[in-house]
Amino acid sequence: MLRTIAPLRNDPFFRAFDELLAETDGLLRGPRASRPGPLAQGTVHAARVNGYRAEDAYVLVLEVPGLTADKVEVKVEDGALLVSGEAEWAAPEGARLLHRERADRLRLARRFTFADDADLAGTSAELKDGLLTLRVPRTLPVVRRIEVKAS
Amino acid sequence: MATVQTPSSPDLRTALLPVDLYEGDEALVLLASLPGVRAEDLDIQLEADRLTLTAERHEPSPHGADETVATPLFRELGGVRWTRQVRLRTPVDADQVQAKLEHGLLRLTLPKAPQARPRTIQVKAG
Repeated sequence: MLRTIAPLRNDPFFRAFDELLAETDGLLRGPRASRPGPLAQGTVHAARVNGYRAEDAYVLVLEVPGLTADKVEVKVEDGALLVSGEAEWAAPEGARLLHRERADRLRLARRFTFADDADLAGTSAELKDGLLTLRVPRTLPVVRRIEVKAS
Repeated sequence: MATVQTPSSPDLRTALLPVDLYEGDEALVLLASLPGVRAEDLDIQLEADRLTLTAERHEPSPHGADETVATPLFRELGGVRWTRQVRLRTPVDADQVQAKLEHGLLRLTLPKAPQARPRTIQVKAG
């Protein structure tokens, strides 16, 4: 996990860091086994994310299965974008567990910082099929031409 | 004995799908997380006691932006083809199986065959 994050710290245009993720992800996702193993009760699933820089916006796509719009919060704080939310992956009522391989809830807590051209106040969010897409518009650089006077 | 078939596209990673299985009086319920999978990209087959799930998700594209000019900055989730076979120890009624895919969560309800449901035996007073 940290390995995939590291290169972007060096990205001059876009940096993201995850203080909270380290707490949820490293501890709880466990080894990347190809075969899903049984998980203990109370295990938390951390949301993974893709980030893109498009012509007109920064785009983040987060994997948030089970999350509904009323359970997600996106806010701007100290020049960073904070995304948080929680989803219960409720067990069917009156049924007993035979076999468990999934975490029983999703916890999302990630913080993203951007380059100066990001217009955080203009951020829009869309939730579809368990994916949360955030768009942060990029402001176009103002090019000002300075006239050089001949003396 | 999972049969991992070739993905429809080479950019998909194959993975086994983690599932939870529950048993109620009337039905077995299987839960799985399939973020980014649409109903048409999910295939569920039941053959005797063998349940096979196959789902594909392509790498999520930066929605609304022109993909050709979007530069990936970091990637934690890519295209994936999930497969899973589960052997059901309880006979189920194949005609009554219901699958619901909502917010990236799959909930598969497999009603038990009549002979597998609990029955109350009336005791007659002699």
